[in-house]
Amino acid sequence: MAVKVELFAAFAEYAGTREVVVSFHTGMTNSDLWKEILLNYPKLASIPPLFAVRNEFVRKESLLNDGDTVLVFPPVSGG
Amino acid sequence: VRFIWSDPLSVERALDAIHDENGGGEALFIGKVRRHNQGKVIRHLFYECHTPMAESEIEKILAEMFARWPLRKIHVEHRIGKLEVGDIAVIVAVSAEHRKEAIEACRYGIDEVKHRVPIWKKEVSESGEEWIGTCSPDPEQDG
Repeated sequence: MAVKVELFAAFAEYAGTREVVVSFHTGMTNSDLWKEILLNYPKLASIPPLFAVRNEFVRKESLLNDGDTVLVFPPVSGG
Repeated sequence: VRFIWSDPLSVERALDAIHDENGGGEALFIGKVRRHNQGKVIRHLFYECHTPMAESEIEKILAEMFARWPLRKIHVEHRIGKLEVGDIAVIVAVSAEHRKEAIEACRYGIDEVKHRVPIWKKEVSESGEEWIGTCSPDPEQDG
């Protein structure tokens, strides 16, 4: 019962890791997941996250499934 | 098609890719690393991306451009890794029968690449390091 979280760019640097595993509970949304992560990595709270599952952007209210891998992106800044 | 490159980008490659015998108008946007940003002296930039999503998001942008304008060809390339001042970070090249649609589509393409594609840059300047877009008061000023 776990969700794998992959962090990118500023999130990875501020957390000091690119991967975090969070325990899953039924009804868990991306927002819930992020709150759990912020408990351990409060420095990430300054940046608004974008979530993606299976390489598609998803809303923060989207429900997660056990075993999902969630990509968490900071605001993009390409170009 | 490969949009994300860790090697130097090539204007020649972009122009070759959009060449078309009915392409009477070609528009080319080149984004380069500049020396100064918001009063800081830049040493270099570091770009990171999520390659599968960056590739698919650029693919979507190209489909939108083809749906919206009568274009002949489009070529987009974006570099990642360490870039020095003067290096090319992004190229958007478009050919069409006439200039109007080429220029409009090129403008749309670069704007959407900057707004949607999961690519991030860290600025390394004489005053320190900063991930752009995370604490800048106006992220539109970043490039």
